Amino acid sequence: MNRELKRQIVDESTLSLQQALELDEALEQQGPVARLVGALSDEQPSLAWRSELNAKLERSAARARRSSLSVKWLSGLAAAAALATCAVFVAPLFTSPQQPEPLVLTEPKTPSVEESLVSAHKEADLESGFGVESAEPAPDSGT
Amino acid sequence: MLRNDDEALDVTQEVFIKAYQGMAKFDGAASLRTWLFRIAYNLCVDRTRKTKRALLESPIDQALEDEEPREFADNRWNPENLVMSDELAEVIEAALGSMSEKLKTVLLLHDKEDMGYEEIAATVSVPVGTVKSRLFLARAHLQKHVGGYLGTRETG
Repeated sequence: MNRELKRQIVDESTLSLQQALELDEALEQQGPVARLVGALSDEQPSLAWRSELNAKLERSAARARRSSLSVKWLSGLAAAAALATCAVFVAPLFTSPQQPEPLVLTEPKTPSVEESLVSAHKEADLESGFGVESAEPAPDSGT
Repeated sequence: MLRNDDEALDVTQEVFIKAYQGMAKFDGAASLRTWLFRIAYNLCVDRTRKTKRALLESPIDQALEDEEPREFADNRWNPENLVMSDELAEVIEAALGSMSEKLKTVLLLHDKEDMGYEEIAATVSVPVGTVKSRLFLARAHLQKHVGGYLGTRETG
């Protein structure tokens, strides 16, 4: 690997295609070093650490639930207030003002034949003075 | 990326808590593993900045000057002869400790966690070419430390 390439690698400069290929080859040759790093042991967290993490996660979940309930409650109040406002100001726009009932002109009812006969009979009774309600006694019927 | 195990354990817990809290925002654009490692990487960077620890880094270009990568042909690097002893592990940990965060991150993500170049690039938000450059430099740095240990072990 030439000095110029090393300098460009240290500077993290953009490499040419040839330089990139040379770098890939150098990385391949560093395989044993990579295997050393891969062979480092992993530390397993203790049960105490896991319990502590679980407790923190539960506290975080409880906080999230509380804030979620508060948001829902406030949202419900806001929605109800908005609906009430709409009902007060908007509803009248959809109801038409009461208009007076139109005057319906109807033709006078012409009395029927029966009604004419009844009214004529009543008038005749009144003129003769006889009838059910007359004060004068009815003429003797022949006794 | 962190200096001691306790700090690493604390940050690991923070990773899972942040992941739990932010699960609704996970859109699946990246894999879950990439997403988790990205959270971990950002938390480690924040933690390091907060503590404002000055890293005693060995000059990387010095490692490139002293060592030629093409020396793995000698018997010291034969996997059959190279046993991961506690002593060797300590040498490697010391080498990692003297490495910059950006190099150590790429080295561990690739060689320890078996992440690919593209995945690492997405995790630390750098181009793939930069990932390869950092990986090469990190391995060169590690090689210098371990090579020295192997050399003294042979002569000693």
